[in-house]
Amino acid sequence: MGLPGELQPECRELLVGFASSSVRLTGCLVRSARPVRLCQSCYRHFQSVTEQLKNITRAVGNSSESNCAKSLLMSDRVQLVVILSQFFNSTWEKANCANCLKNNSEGLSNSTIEFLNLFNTTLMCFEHNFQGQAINLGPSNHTEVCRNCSRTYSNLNALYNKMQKMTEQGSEHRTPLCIDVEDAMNITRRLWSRTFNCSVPCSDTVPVIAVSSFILFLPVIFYLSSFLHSKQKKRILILPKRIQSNASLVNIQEKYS
Amino acid sequence: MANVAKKVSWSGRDRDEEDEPPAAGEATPLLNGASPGAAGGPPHSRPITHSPFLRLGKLSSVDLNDDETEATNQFPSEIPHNEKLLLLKYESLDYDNCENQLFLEEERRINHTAFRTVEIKRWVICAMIGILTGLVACFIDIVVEKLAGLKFRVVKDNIDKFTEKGGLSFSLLLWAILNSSVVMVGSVIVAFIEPVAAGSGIPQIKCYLNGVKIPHVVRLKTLMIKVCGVILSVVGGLAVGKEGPMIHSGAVIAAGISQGRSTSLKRDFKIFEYFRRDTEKRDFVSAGAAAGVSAAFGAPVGGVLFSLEEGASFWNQFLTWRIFFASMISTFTLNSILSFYHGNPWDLSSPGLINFGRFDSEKLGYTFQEIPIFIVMGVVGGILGAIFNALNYWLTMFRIRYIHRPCLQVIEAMLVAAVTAAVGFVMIYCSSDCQPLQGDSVAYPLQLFCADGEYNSMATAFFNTPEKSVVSLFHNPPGSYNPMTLGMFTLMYFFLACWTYGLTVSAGVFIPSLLIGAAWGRLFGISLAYLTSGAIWADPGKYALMGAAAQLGGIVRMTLSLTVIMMEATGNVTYGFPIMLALMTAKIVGDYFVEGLYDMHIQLQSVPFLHWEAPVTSHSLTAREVMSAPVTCLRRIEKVGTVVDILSDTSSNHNGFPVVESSPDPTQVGQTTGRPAASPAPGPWAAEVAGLRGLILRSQLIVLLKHKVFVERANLTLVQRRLKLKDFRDAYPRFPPIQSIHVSQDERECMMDLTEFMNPSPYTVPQEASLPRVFKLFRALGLRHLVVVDNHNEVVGLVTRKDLARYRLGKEGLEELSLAQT
Repeated sequence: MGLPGELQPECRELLVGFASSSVRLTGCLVRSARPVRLCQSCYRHFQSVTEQLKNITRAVGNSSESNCAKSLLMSDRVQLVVILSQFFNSTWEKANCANCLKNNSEGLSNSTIEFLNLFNTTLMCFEHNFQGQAINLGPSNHTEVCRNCSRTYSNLNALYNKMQKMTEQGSEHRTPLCIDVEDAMNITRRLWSRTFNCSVPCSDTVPVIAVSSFILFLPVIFYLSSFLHSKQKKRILILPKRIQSNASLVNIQEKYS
Repeated sequence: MANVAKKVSWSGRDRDEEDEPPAAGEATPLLNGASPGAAGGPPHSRPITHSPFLRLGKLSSVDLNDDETEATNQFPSEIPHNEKLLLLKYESLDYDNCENQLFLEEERRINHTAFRTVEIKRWVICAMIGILTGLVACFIDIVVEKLAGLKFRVVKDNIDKFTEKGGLSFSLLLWAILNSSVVMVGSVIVAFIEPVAAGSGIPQIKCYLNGVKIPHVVRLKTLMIKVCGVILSVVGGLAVGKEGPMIHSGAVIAAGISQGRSTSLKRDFKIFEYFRRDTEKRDFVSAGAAAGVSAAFGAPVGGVLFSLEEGASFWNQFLTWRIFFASMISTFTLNSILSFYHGNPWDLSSPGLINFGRFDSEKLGYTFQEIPIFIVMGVVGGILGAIFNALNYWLTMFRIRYIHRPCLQVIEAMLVAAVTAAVGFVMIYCSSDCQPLQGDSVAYPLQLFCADGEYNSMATAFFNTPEKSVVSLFHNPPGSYNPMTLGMFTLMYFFLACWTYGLTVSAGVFIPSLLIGAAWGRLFGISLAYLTSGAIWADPGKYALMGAAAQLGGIVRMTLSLTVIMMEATGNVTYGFPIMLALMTAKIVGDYFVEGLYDMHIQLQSVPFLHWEAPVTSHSLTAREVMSAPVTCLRRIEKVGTVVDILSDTSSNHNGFPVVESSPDPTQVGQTTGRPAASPAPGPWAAEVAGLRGLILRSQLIVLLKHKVFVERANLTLVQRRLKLKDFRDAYPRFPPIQSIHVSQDERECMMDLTEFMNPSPYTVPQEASLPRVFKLFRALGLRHLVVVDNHNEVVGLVTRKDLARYRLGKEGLEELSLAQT
């Protein structure tokens, strides 16, 4: 038993455990910030942090360790442990990592693994074809990449859309996919359409203009024809029954003159 | 000056038509006697068979005006519809209780506890109004969300498909055809089944609460059409909102519930019979309108204030509290149902149909320096609103004159829907404003020509329901829209919304106005930050909100209620002051140019609407000049034949008849003395002394005739049941026409005693009372007929709503509107 102000040894143990696991998680998070690999590389660390925190909180009920949770979690103004754990949780939620993990958080879900594999294949394909072309660096002349990788790319796109749809079905609100998948897709798409300039949509301006001007022209015809052919709405005037006195006429005339 | 000449000439040609049968289609029904508060019957050339009494009245009425020359005959009796008319078909409501003997007897029989029960019933009805209004709002919201989602998904898939392959013109066609076919259904039901359900319904409810009986306005059928029509027009992609019609829906629900029966469904639940009269119904209708606003915007206080500002001409504290109760119940119902629907029960986070989202007051506070900017925005809103109203005025006039056939109206609505789709598509097609997709910020991201992983920013504005577009303009982070997009969008949407309002579809103008305002407000905010090169750190969302408020204020010109509605819808009291400033400026600036949209439409519909005050320059007019004369009077003990003849005379379809003391002369009619020498009248005017005894309504007479309450019959069958107030209530509000009541030749000779049934204490004014005084009495008490008497209590004339409403302050001073028939 130390001084009253000092921490009990078991509490210190818990604190140290939390410290080391959070160091590992923080390092992992920062290391996998770009390109984003948060969920796939850090889920184990995150789990251990959650467990450590659970150990601390679970201690509340236990009489011998009750003041441990109290002293670690709520005995000062700053409450660093709480701040840190909140930060981890909110980061995790923002990244929506739960979406690409299995239900028990024991590893990546099957669709995520499939997606990541396909993503790697696509990247490999890009790299392969791009290197072959690097010699003749024509501006936006990456037709070979476009031709060779379009299948993998569209597969990847399709898979991504499918995953998006699956998450939408699960809940009423649109929840985004986890950040790893999203970022991977974004990178690929940017490469595809910006760097390689592969997605050239057919712009058929002439028919669109023709159809829209046809539609825009219809009301003109309509209004003209209804103006010319429709019978104008007439109102039949009704005579009000009044006492015709000169006074009233004078009154009104005054107002009009 | 011109108007005076017209007036004279109309009274001049009167007689000629009486003398010779008019040409086909040229018939001018004579207003024989007074009380134009009456529905115009079909044009009627000449009475065929009449009792001597009626012939007499007719002649005398003609004689009254025979001092005019023949030269003015050519003036056409048919004129194109214009804004200076009052239509005869609009009648007044009887807000004044008819205090006849039956009523007094019944009131005496009701004791203190019974009155308590009545009071409790009022509260129950208000709660039911709130619940049902909330449910209707939920229904509209959910169905619109589902159907619009379906439509947008279909179109989006189609566009995505054709972007790769080419052939986007097909997507355009698909979108346009989908839109116009949905709108077609919505327009057909409105145009062919219930035309009164067109538009937002706010002008109609305003008129109803003002005391004008707009035919069919609070019927169950109207509600059905309104709800379906709103859903279809929003799903059809028109530039409309579903908020305005909620007010009408709430009003119909209130009118229906408070009566405890449905005449359309022929079901009488035998409850709430006490409330079957116009006075009580009006109170509930104002509660319903408030509940509607409250459900639409999640603004219970705003709803109450809306009822106060726009509707209720008659107001007291108890009513206010009850209305507030109904509003609260309504928003709570909507909230709880939607929370279940959205899958987070008891969360209660969606209080209205439109939710402006939360404006974080810490992040988006405003500074002192920004106040002038808000005022400038108010000025812009006022000017744009005035332009909107002026354009819509011309368009509406054109529509009334030329597009009055239902099929034309349907075609017009379809064309507008198609053009709306086409404009949206072209705008999206031409826009090169691409924004990266971020999570779930966009409901239906259209990629089109953007790079993969990006969406077209114009599409968030056009390719969405207007409500969602408003919210995204308020809340999307800075940089989500580029100025070009916003500018084009504002311009296009302004014209589309202006074009759409007044179509034969049920749809409101609130959301389009907010959307226009939000778009230019956001543009304003962006350019402000750009001009001052970031010196004023302007969050565009805040300016979008102010722009929306200013634009809406500039169009509808509401102040108090709108400020509170905006405050409640954003859930931010901090913005109360700037919103108020913007709205006030918008109203002042807008009023300088033209009237508000709703007032304008009321005027264009030729409704005899009474404003708060009489026109300011009308003090020189007296009751004598305002009133209608001569008056068709009935005697206290009247012959049945006479009553039937008067009632079935289609040319003088009056609703109120002063009852005068019986006189020995059976052919006597009112209106005798006090005519000036200036108006020579050589007609057979017997100087009859006929003191005013009471006033009886057409509806009462019809009920009396139906039940054959004749003096002779009462003597014959002593056991005959006495007529009760219930018999009048059962017939309310749709009294049978006189044609459906059969009166045999023998019965025509019977006599009717009106003493029990007439209102023995009608309000009267002397001839010398000034117009503002008459107006005040009429408006404040919600009268329908005001008898003008001379010193001897003899009936001289009758003032009705149309006599008062025809004076209007125009651009050049006091104007007089003329009466017309459809």
